[in-house]
Amino acid sequence: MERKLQSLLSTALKAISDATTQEELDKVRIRFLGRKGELTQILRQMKDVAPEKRPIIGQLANEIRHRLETELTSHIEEVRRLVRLKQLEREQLDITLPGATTTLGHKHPLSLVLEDIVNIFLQMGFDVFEGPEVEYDYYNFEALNIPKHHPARDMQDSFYLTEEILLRTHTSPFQARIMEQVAPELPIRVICPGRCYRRDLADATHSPMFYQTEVLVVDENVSFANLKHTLLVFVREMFGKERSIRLRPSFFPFTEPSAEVDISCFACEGEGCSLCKGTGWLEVLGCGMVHPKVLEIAGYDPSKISGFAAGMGPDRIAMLKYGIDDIRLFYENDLRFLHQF
Amino acid sequence: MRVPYSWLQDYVSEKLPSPTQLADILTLAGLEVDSIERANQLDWVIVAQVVEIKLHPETEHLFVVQVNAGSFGVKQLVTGAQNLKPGLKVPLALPGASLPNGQTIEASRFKGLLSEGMLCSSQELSWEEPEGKETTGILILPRTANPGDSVAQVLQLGDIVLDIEVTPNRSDCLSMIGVAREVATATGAKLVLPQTMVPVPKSNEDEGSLFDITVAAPDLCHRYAGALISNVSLGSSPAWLKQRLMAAGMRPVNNIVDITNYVMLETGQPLHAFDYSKLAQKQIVVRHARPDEVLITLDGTEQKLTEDMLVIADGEKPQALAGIMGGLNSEITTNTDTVLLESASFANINIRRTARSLGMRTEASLRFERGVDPNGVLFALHRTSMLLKELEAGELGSILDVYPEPVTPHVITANPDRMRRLIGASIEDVFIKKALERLQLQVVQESRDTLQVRIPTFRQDLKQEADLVEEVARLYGFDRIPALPLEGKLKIGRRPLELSIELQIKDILRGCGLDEVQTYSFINPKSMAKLKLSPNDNQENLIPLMFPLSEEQSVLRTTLLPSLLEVAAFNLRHKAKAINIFEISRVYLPERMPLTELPSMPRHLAIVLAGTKGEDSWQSKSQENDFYRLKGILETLIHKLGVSGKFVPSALNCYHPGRQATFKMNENEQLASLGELHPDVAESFDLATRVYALELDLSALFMQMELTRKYQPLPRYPSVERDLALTVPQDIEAIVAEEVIREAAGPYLAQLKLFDVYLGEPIPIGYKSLAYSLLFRAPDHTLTEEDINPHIETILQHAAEKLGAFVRH
Ligand SMILES: [Zn+2]
Repeated sequence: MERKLQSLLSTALKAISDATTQEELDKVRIRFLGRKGELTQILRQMKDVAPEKRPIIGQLANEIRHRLETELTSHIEEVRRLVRLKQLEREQLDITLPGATTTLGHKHPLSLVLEDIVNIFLQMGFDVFEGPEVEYDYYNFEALNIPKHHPARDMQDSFYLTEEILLRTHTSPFQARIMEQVAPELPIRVICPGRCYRRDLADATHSPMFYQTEVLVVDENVSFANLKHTLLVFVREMFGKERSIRLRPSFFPFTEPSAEVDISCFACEGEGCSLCKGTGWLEVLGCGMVHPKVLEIAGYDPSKISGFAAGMGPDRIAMLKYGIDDIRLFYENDLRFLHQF
Repeated sequence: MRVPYSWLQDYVSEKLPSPTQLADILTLAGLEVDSIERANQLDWVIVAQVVEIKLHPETEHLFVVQVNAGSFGVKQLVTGAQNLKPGLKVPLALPGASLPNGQTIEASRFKGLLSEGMLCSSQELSWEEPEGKETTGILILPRTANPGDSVAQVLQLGDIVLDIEVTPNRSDCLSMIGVAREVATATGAKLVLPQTMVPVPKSNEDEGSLFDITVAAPDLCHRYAGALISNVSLGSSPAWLKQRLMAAGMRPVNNIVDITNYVMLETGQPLHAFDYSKLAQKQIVVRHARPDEVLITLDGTEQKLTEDMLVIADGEKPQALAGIMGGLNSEITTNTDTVLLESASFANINIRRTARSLGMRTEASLRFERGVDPNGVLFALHRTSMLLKELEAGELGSILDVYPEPVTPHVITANPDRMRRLIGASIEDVFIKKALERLQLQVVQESRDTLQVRIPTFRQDLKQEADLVEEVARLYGFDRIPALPLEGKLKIGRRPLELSIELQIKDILRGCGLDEVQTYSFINPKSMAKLKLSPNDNQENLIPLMFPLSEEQSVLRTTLLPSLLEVAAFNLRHKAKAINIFEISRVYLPERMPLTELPSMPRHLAIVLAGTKGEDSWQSKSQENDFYRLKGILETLIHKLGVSGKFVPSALNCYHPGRQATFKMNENEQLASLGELHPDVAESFDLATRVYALELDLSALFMQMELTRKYQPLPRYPSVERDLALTVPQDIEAIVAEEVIREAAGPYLAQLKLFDVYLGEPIPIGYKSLAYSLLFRAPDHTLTEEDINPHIETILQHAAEKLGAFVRH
């Protein structure tokens, strides 16, 4: 009996180790440990064993059962591991094939730049407003100290709709509108982005329609130094921390003093290159202290109240930022262009 | 304003800084230098010395010349010129040189012999030799010239020219002297005025009787001075004068005209020369034009004058358009022996208006429009007198000067403290006073906190304290002004809700795979006609521009569609396969026409789809765009913005009659129209494909948005799902079927979703199969089959009764 059990053990162990699949192992289990399996068959002959030997045989049989169970379990794990391994070996992808991308749309580069500008000023505590694109001559010119036949009207040939109504040539009329609305309350800290129109034939640097963003601050004790700081913060946010600015005296009828603002060229770090035409500087915006007459027209006392204004061109900024050399690309909407942003 | 460097030097006491330094100085002083150019640079034209001359072996008309070209070595030239001798120095244009006449030099062979360039004559270099000393043939250069040197340098050609953009306020800087004054101020040098000569009346004649000046429109002509130039010897101007005029951008004419132009460029005072013999009754009358008067101006154009225009007339008729252009009749000709010279000051607004209405722009009108100092009128005449004498071109007689109300310098009261505060820098009083003085602004009186500053009449732009602030600040240096943060209460910057929502919408649409475009607000009225909109679609309400640049950009749009369709066509022409675009912009709707007030300008959204949704990939072909994708995008959008409403059929001409819809938020409020473009309309826009378009009034949408969200508890009991396929007559609309199901589905229906629409075998002809998935759920218990089955029965029953449906097996 003992011998039979020992022989069953060795046969079963061999069968286990020979099995390579789960099914074979299941068969081994049924063959040796099943209800009608070989171990049970042998134990049925227990009645033939001397009673004093029975506990020993019983213990041996239990040990064998236990041993085989353990072997089976570990071998099943091993077989599963191998099967999984084979499966994994089979399932090789060419990871260089393109992924299934989601087609997202593209924002227009001008919108991207406008959003940047607006966000920078929002963070500085400026409110955003929109003025009307179709505007009265009064707000576009007269209220900005540009009377009829003022030579400055040459600077911006306009699209008139009637004698008194035109497409705004800049976002500056918003200055007049907001001041008129708010005066004598203080302070005013606003920006006004939007479309503007000038009677320019489209070429690489001109467009009859373009964007502008007006910046206006009115308060007690606002100085040119404040203007300079605000612009410096803006320029560094927009074009990078290393940028410096240069203000040059200029002329706008609605600011005095007036200045053009250059930023140090980011393409050459001021050394001079083709982008900055060798000067090391790039013109980005115009600004100045609000002209006393404009303050007066709006209802402020210019001897006590001051302000500054700046106007910048998102088209120009986008061209600089992205290295675009033709403004017409913005309004032509070639998808091959738009998809780059 | 083109300022030749060497010319400018005449008026500055110290040697000018280098051209680039000078450009920086001027730019930082507010006179922006656009470019630094060289006039007539003559690149690759160098001095060569003749070494040897031989006859060409093949022909007796040509010579073979060896020259020493300094560092360029010895060169061989073939020339026909007769005036060469060994030792002479001549200009040699090397291969690559391009001459002022447009000729480009190349090495070439003449009868077999190589010529490594070309020897040049004075004409070929556009170089005017002094009168009486002209050479025929090759130009002979001074003996002092060194072989290899630039000829431009030797001839002092190629003056450097600064092109300055003079802002409209600085009329004083439309002159060499004005610019020189700025240079002197900025560099500390002194302004050197040119030599003048005051004409002395001749004792033996009464010049007063030779002509007479009447200013009949004193409000438009503040001052009019005239003088006769006698003994006119008309001819060509000397080379130096011509060079300067050309460098400054003016064309030399003859010595008299050239001198007047030269003085204008120098002083900023335009002058005009009349042929005295052509002036009827020897009279100058400054008056308004009379009705129906005409004048043929120097450019040969017949100008129809109107009464608001100012003319310079003689005793009978206009002889010049005041301040703009002279008349052909009294032009200086070779027969002219006496000239009447005008130096005057006209009202700028009138000159500007006349110049604009006649479409004329001259050097004179440019200056008068900006403003000419009446007190500079005589200086210009005195300067002319000097030049006439120097050039032996004539003799200026005594001056008749009509100046009824002399303009005197005005005084500005300035408060240095306020100036400092406005600048934001602690600039000392001493500096302020010095700065003003350097600008020739005189502090005439000084009290504890104010300065009285006298403004010379050539600075008409300085009117008030703020103007002086700019003068002080720019002399102090904008770069020295500190950058100081704004002070005040902290506050949050806000953008209006409409702009925030616009950003959100753009993000949603971008997520839907749409590209944003930006198109012009003005369009071609013909594109509107192509859309075949019915009259109540505001077509006749297009606001026209008064002076459009072209028909393509001549009216303000009332819809964004034409522009987007054009963008689609443009991209299809460029072989784009997937057109998925949108724009958010305003449209312009007038209350009434003609316009008396601002139109309403609602913000619209338009979407145009054509071709595929995206690009094909190796895994799948991209989905073709269709009506339902477009509708789906709109549904996505309104869902995100919390807007509800329904799609109803519409009948717009621009869309396919069977494939269009309107989205209504309620009975009256129409939010959007969408559809497949009518094939005729698509064709008229050059779109040879199916196109889907949508336009939505965002301002209407903003009124209906519901952006607040409330949390709904998650279901606690499991749901039961049932699929149901109804075969219904083909003309039953999906929404009708859905309503019937919902009505019959009982209280537990949580979700109803159409997942298949099918036509064809085995569905009978005239029918379609709609397959729905229904989700049932109870809030308080787990549903059983018994809970659901009766409702399914009801659905089937109602569907059969109300829709004529039968259940598909
Ligand atoms: Zn650069």
